[in-house]
Amino acid sequence: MSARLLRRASLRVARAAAVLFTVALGAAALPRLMPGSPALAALGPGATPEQVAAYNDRVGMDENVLAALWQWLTDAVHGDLGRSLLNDVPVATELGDRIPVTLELFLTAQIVALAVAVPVALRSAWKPGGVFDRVATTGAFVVTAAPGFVLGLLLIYVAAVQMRVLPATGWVRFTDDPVENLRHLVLPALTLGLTEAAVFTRTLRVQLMDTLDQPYIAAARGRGMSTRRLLTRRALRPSSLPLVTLVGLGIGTSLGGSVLVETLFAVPGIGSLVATAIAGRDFPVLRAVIVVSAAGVVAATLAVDLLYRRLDPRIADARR
Amino acid sequence: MTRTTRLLAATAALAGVLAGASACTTSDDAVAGKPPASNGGTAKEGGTLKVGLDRPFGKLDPADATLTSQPMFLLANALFDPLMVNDAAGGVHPYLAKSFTPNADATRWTLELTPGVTFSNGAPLDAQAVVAHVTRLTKPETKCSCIVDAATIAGMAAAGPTTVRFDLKAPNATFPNLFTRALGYIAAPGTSPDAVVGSGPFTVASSQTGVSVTVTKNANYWGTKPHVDRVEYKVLPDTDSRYQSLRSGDTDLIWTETPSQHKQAAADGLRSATAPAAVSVALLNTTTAPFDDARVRQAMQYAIDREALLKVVNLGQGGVADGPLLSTSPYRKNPSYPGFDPAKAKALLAESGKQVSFDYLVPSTPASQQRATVIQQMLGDVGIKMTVKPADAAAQATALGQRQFQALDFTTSILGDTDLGFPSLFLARSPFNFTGFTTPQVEEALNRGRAALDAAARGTAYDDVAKAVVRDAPMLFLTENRVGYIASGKVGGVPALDKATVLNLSPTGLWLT
Repeated sequence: MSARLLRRASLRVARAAAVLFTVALGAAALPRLMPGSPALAALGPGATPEQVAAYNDRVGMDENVLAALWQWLTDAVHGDLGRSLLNDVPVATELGDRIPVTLELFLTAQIVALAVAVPVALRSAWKPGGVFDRVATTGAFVVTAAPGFVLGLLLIYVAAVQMRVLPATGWVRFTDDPVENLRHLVLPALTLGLTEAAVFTRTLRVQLMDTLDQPYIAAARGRGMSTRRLLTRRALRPSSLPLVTLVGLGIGTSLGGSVLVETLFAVPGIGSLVATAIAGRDFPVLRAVIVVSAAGVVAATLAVDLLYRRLDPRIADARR
Repeated sequence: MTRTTRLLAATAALAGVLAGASACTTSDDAVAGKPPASNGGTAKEGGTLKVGLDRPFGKLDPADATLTSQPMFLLANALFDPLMVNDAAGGVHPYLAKSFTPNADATRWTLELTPGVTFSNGAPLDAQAVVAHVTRLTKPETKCSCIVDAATIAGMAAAGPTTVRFDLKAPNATFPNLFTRALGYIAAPGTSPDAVVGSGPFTVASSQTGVSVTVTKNANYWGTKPHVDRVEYKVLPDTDSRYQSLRSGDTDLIWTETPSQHKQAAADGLRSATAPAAVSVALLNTTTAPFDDARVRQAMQYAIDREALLKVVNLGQGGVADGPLLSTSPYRKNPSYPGFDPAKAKALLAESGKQVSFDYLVPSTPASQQRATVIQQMLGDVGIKMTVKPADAAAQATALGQRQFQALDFTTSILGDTDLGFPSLFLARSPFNFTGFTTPQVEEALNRGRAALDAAARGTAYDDVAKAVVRDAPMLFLTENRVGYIASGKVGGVPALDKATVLNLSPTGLWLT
């Protein structure tokens, strides 16, 4: 590895560490930043002063934020992320149980989104203004405009209530029963995936239309290249950079989407954990989820950067 | 138990209350709503009952207020047995207890336990276990909301293998009522807080906290054996998908407080077992402007059309609320509540000389939001400006606990049990007196009621309190809401609960057809 590459990599790692530290600091200050009394919020309005004092002591309300953060980071290095205030379960155990569920849901949703968006966008962009394009554009617009839970409820009504082919809610772990796991995965993954597919389709279609106007595309057509080959080999790759960005950013935004979808379908992932933790002001859980999510976003951003260079080598040599 | 037996038991309980028989003795009735079946048919054995819970549970520990909340009794009753239980006639009677009797001035109560009862781990459920349980729940670290109730106990001791004596700081003629929730769901002493052991008809087979729990029959159960082999509880927090899960057959029984679902259930081939066991009120903070002026509060009473609220928000399900003595309360006499009269509202506002505007904190539930919107319009018609401020449950709890609100939309089941609800909401020193309302007359009537072993005398005292609350309007009574269970057609043993004050259903009496 050259010195320049090493310096660049070090810089990126340092930036990532700074971002994570800032996020962790914000998360540590959360109990003080949220309005009202965290103790009353968690214990209920009738809590006694003794119960409030015990709660504040446990949450570390009186500790210095930096000292509390340092302690948390020190414990986190040893795998101790604290314990939930709601059920006393170790936060690391909670995350260990739930991260795989959300990851499975997220990855499947991305596959659904890409499987729908890429062919639709290719065909739309090839003949813009045609019947297919107009139908696809309208469909994408409708799905983007409709709240996610509407699509979810519609899918439940059709597939679970009317056809009775898929379960409406719940979750089965893959290790417990792979078939049931897939059956429980379909509806939430479709709900998340179709919503994202609409955004992906619109983004990719616009980018493809620009690419298809480039002279090298006309040259390739002039050389007699088939439409399929032209689209997939010549147009798709340079048009897919924004899509890669969207997928990468999706790791961060997926938490927001998964809160809704996991609550609707009773999927025991990070999203439903966050929903419960916010309602109960479970700060140890919130802090861990925030930091872990931030780490995921940072890692995804780095991965997207690397993929950019792979898809378009000019980016790697931008300084030249 | 047959329908006739249950009817007799319920009648006996009601008669007991009316006749002033405060000393509670055991009956062969079970947790309210256990047997018999409203859907007829013969009980069948075996199978797995699937239940959709409306909220995540924390620890499976009675100290956790969630577990002994009304919608969660179906889970609590699987793992624990309550000492006392609310019956379908508004009274309270022994369940795990054999009797619970007072001395002459209700300052000492003697609890006799049913002998021979054991926890699911084989340990005896005796007097020592009860003392240990109550002692544990009085510690701040258990975070039990029952700590306030436990604080009324001056001392307690085992007076025999199955006898516990409680000495109280002040007379309390309805002391046994405190043992219908957390204090009465006895957990085995010395067990880990993460794996609390009860004496109930089921034991935990597997559990993922806040997600699901599966229970199987307790082979050593002392009481009536349950019909089903297993019960799977799944947390389904979204109201709509919970209902659709029931329709699709993924679950057999759900709890819901959504009026449209109770209305729709019959058309979807489902059966509701509900009661007007929750009341929606507007809490007015009487310690701060503009509601420190009784005329403003009374103007609000006249300005709100409760019939319209019932029709629009509750879709006609339930009834209008006309005071703190709910329609199911055994103490209810002839309530009188100010009717809808905008002209009187305007006159009272003019008399107060104030331009009234205030913030109204509203939970995020659709019904609360809808109710607030309708009330906003009604108040606007008489010249009161109300700003709706959404607040999640935690923000609401903070506002209530610190009394940092002007007005707040509040739906509660606490008034289902008048004996518990009245002191909680209206005693000056109670942490649940959110409105800050107190008068010497109300305080005297409450203390008189609490000390009265004679139910009729207690009813008179409560009626005095109710009249004062309606007259001075620290809270505006809006609607009594139908809440409860909806079951699929294959669930047998679901009782009619429409007269119940507290919906306390046990899975023991349910079966699958």
